[in-house]
Order: sequence, then C-alpha cells, then structure tokens
Amino acid sequence: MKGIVSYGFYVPSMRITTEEIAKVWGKDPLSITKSLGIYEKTVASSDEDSLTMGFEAAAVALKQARLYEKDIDKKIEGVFFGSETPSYAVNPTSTTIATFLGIHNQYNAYDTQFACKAATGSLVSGLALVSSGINQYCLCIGSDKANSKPGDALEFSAGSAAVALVVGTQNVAIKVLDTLSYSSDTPDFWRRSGESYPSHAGRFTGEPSYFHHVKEASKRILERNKLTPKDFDYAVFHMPNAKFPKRVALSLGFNLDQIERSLVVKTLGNSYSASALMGLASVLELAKSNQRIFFCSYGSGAGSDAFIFETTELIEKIKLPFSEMIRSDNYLDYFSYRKNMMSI
Amino acid sequence: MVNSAVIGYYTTQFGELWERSLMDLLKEALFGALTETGLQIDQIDAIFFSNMLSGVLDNDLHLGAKISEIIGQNIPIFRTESACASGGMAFHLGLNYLRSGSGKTVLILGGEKMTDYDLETITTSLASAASEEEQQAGLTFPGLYGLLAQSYLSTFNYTEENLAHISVKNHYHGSFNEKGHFQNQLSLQQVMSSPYVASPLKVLDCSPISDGAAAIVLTVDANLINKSPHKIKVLTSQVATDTISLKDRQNLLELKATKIASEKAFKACGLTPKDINLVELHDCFTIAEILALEDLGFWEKGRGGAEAVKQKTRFDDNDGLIVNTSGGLKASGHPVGATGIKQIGELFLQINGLATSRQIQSCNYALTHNVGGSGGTAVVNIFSNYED
Amino acid sequence: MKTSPVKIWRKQKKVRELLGMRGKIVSWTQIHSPVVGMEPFTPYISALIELDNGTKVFGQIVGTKLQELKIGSVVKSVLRKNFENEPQSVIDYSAKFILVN
Repeated sequence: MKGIVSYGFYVPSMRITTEEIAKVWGKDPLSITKSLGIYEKTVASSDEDSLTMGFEAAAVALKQARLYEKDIDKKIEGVFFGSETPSYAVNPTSTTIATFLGIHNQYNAYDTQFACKAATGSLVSGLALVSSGINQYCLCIGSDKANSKPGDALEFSAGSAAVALVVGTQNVAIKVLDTLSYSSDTPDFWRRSGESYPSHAGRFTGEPSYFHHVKEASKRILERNKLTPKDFDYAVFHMPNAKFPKRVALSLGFNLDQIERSLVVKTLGNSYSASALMGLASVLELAKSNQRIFFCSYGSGAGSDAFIFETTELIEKIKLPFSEMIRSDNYLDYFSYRKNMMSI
Repeated sequence: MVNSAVIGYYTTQFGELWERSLMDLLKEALFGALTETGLQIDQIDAIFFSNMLSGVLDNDLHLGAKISEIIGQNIPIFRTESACASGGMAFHLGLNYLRSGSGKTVLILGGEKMTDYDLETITTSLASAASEEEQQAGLTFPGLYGLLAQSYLSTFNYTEENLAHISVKNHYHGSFNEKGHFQNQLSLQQVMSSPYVASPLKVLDCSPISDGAAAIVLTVDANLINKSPHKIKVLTSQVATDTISLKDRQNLLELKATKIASEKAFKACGLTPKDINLVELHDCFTIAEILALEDLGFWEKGRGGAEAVKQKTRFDDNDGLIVNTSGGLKASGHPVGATGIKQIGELFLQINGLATSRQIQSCNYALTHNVGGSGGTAVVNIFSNYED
Repeated sequence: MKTSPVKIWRKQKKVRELLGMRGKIVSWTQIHSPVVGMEPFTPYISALIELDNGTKVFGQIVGTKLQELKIGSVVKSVLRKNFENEPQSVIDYSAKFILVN
C-alpha cells in the first residue's frame, strides 16, 4: 500500500500583519481581513529562499523517517522539488537539497513548476514510482517564498513555507487510497520569464479557475471511489485566501468543521506550492489512526490534484506538533518586510 | 655581530592622497630617504619593499621590477607581504641580508594606496589576511578585532570607554605629527558617540584607510655610520607567527605571536620591558594597543583596560613609558605597507631629537611592534641610541 | 566573497557536515561596515562558535537581535544563502546559525 511515510515542514520565524500592510497602502485592514480572512502571514528572511526552506522541511521529514529506516538516505531514489519561486531558472534545486541532506547519488531528480500545485503534481509521480517498484522511497518537496507587486492584493496573502513528504510502500503512516487530477489551459495567474512579480486576471481567478478545477477533481475522485463528504474526518483545499476553500468545501458538501483545522492561511498566508500541504500538516497534528482526509490542491494555469488519504496507526509515531512549531512573535514593519523580500 | 644602524628616514604625508598613485608615493619616499642621507642610489645594494594590497586591488605585482625602472638600477629588490606586518618584515629581512654579508646598505621601502576604491572593496581586500572560513562568515578586520575586544571586555569587566581612552591619547599625539593622516584631537565623548563599525569597535576605535609611503636606510657600513649625523642602533629584530584563524588560537585574550617575538627580542639584547621607555606599537584598533602592551610585557594581562584610562603614556605626561608619539596607526594613519617602516622612522626621529613639537626628553632603548592580520605575524625590533 | 562554481562544489561536504549541529557562542561581533556581497544583509552578526563536538567554527548568526546574544548562548545550524554575488553567479549556500531557546 503506497502512501506518506513521514513529513516535515518549515515556516520562517518572521511575520507581518494585514494591518501593517493595509496601513501603508491606505486601505482599511478590517475590510481586507473581512474579504480575505487573512490576519497575518509568514516572511522569509533575505538570506532564505525556496531552496533553503525546502531543505529545512526535508531535513525534518528525513529525521522522522529515520524512526523506521535508519538508512533512509540510501533508500530515497527520487527527489522532486516543486516551486514557483525557484532560485534558478535553470539548475535543479532538488539535487542541491539532496546533497545537503546527504542522500546517496543513486536517485532521479527533477524540479517542477505548476503554480501552487507544483509539489502535489510530483507527489502523484512519486507515488506511482514507489508503487510500481521502480523506487523504494521518494522525497517530494513543495516550497515557495511568494512575492507580489507592492500594493497588489496578493501582497496580503503571499507567504513563505515549505513542506516535504517521504513516500513509499513500507512504513506508511498516511495511505493514499486514490489520486485524480484535472487539468486545462486557463490563464488566471502567471509569471513571465525574467519578471519579478506574478500577474493575475482578477475575478477570473475565481469560478472558471480555482472553483472549476477543484470541484471537478474533487467530484470525480469522490464518484470514482463511491464516497461522499461525510465519509471524511477532515478536508483540505488549496488556500489562496480563507474564503475560497470554505466556499468550495460547502459547495461540494463538506461542512466547515471538517476544513476548519486546515485553514492555516489565516495566520500563515498562502505559501503557494506548500499551501495546501501546510493545511494537511496542520490537520495531521490532530489526526488519529484510521481517519480519512480529503485533499485537493489547485495550481493556476490550471489544474487540481485530488487525494484520498487514510491514516494508519503509524501516524501517532510520526506526527509533528504543528501549532508549537509555527508559533512566533517576531513581527515586522512594512519596510523590513520589503527589505527581506528584495531577494528571492 | 656587526653593528647595524638606521641612518635615514623619510615619510610622505599619510592621508587621502587622491592625486598620488602608489608609484608616486614610493618614488617620493625612496628619493626622499636618499636625499635625507645624502646617498646616491648606486650606494644602495638592495631594496626591501613592503606592500599588501597592490595585487588584490590593482592587479599590480612584480613591483620589484617596477621599482627597478624608477631607479634605473639592476640591484636585487625583494618584496615582502605579511599583511600589516609587511613593513616590519621588510626591515627584518633587510637586516638579515646585511648581517649575512650580502650587502652593506639597503633601503627599506613600504607604501600603500588604499583610497582609490570604495569602502566595501577595501574592507574585502584587507580581509584577505583572514582565513577562508573567517571570510565565509563575512568577517572583516574590525570584526576580528571586535571578537577579540568582546572577549577581553567581558572577561575583565571593562567597557567600551576603556578602549576609547587609547584613541584619545593617540589623537593627542597625532595632533603634533604634521605628516599624520589625522591631526585633530578627540574627546572621549566623540569617540564614544562614533557609529559602530564592528561591535564593540566604533569608527573612532579603528585606524583609518590611508595612502602613504615611508623609507629608511639601513647600513652595516661603519664609515657611513660614523659620518651620519643621525642614526639609531639596531639591537635586534625578531619575528613570530601564529595560526591565521582566531579559532585555532590557544587564547583569545592575547596575541601569542607578539609574546613570542617580544620574549625573543628582550632575550637577544639582554633587556627587559622596564628598560624601554619609547614604543611604537601596532594599534590597528584600540583593543590592539591594550593587548600589545600586555603581550609585550609592559602591562599585566587584564590590567590594560584600567591602565588605558590613566592615559599615562603621553610624551609630555607619563609614568616612564611613552607609546605611539607618531599618533599610532589610529591618528597618523595606516597605509599598510608603510606602517612598519614609519614606526621605525618615528623612533629614529625621537632618538635623534628630530621630533619637533612631540619630542621626548631622552631615550636609551626603544621598541617597535608590527602585527599582521589578527596576530598571524608579529615583528618586534629593539633599537638604542648611538652612544657607545 | 571571491568564489567560483568549483569552489562552491568543493565545499558542499563541509557545509553538509555543519548542518544539523548545535553549539555555544564563544564571541561575536555585529558588523556595520560590510565586505562586498554582504551589503544587503548589513548589519550582520559574525561569531565564533564551539560546537557540541568540541570543534570551533566561524559562522553568521541570523534572525536575532544583538541584545539577545550572550557568551554561551546555544545556537543551531541552518542552511541559508551566503553573500549576494553577481546575478549570473552560482549561489553560495552555507551553514549559518540561529539562537535556540
């Protein structure tokens, strides 16, 4: 049975509030938090980037995996890194992270980009590689130091974080019962080569983009497995803000209690390739064995990867204290925020 | 051992000399020293040349040949580099050259051109004298001495104010040195309120970035020595090295290279620190003067901070030991390659009554102390007046 | 910092060995006058650290205020970008240190 053996995550220690950003642009913080549901977000330091954060998350995931596999660094045969803010346009981050983790050289590696679903896409591939027996274990990492044009609406949500997953067919703590993807060519959000900041199509990012793809992937995977929302203990959807996942959950028939725990965007912002996976990490802190978790990511451009997860008893051994690990009181002013974001 | 003497000294102005190139400065010092001594260039058997940064900054090496071009002679010209101890090293090698019988008279010439580039570039080039690991950690020279100061202040319970007194005293001396980079006196308040360069060291704890060149004529020619109106006798020159990296030092509260070089020097001439009343030492930073006076044996280890406050090493107000009448590196400036030579020159001026408004009353024995990097090299020389 | 792709490649092993290590601060300084490449990070803290295994290393301490540092403070190593070199150059990733509570 294929699935997640261990996971790790990393959030930088600095934060900035919606209020602080709104003040600078003469906007009313209350109306922003009302419409986006975001109160504060994480800020990576000027000497951090998607690579360094991805490394830290993966180091945690490997440490957890060592609880069963002492020699995990010799058994990982696939390393995949997904981001929309990679340090290089051409040069694999996956191999740099693997080198610093001490993973032996017999592995396949590639970097992926697909907006916020860069990592979940590679997760599908990683699961296929382990369940086909081609690889013993794969390491999938999603990491972003998300930036936005100063003054753009995205400035309130673009955050930084990384999540790493070790997948395999042995010592599985979170089984993947099924995965289904839905893709199309939908230009809702993009960044041209050489451009510093992404662009987006305003309200077009809603119904025809996020909602259409998440709903299609979710409906189809539920149908295929003859399951309904009430068969799940938790649900996690990609979080560009706190409103979209609530709306899509309700429209699919999930209730707000099922998704409440996953809504980390409220205090961590949207960490793009790590976003939905951070929601999953938050849920896993509470998850007990034999619980079912619905998961659907979204990447602009566009597509969604839906997963049906089911925990095993091993979840109790490898789960991480999410709430404690994300706690911070290091708040920045807007100028310090921009100074740190000058270098991605 | 044949007698050796310094019979002439010339220094250029030290400061921000925008219109002078390195070659301009070297030429001035070289020919200035010859004029001072009344010698012709063909009476010089070899030149020992000191410079640290010309390669790093200007892609300018093989200075020996470049000097040969200026002087129109084919004599041997040797370049030495040991960071800020390059000048002292050039003197040491020149002395040994003479003692080996390879020649009778040499010119020790040092110069540095540091103001052609921005501060970050200069800071980086000076950091070449630190280990690769220190450079990887972004350390600078003020940073390395900042680490030493941090250790010293917290171990012996002193504050930044103890360090500041050194700067005040050296600027007092510097105000009498017309060739010095800075000739302004400073108050304690001014030093304490200057901005940080590398905590706990502030701008006014640090020697400046300066251009300048200096030259001395060193000889073992007895006739020449007898005929010279001005001279000082070289008693000994000793060199010691230590690890490049601070992390491999046995003790962060001392510079072992200074201790070893000075122990060797006192032993070689049968003197003790009590016999010395005039010192030119390497105050690249205020903490460096305190450490130097302790490591040379003048102050007890750990007492330096308290001694500094008394400011009793002034040429006109002292307890028997006078330190850095030139103004030290702090006030007179630190064109790296020239410093070790200027220090010897300052003793030359003092012992021969040529120190004008900063003249001390008398001197039997004097010492120079020149350090490279954070203590990787130390050169200690002891001189006496020429009353046989 | 004068570096080259080959030098960065050669030091990977050293960096890897430093990652995931804990130590104590021996001494530190906050540098306000930077070397080339450190301007965007200025002022920055460089420190001498004694690792738990007894070896001493130099490293930068990041993410902390000067006042929080004490001789003996416990630190742990993290992976960070080091120096802001030319935009076409290979990125220098090194081990830096953060304070541990």
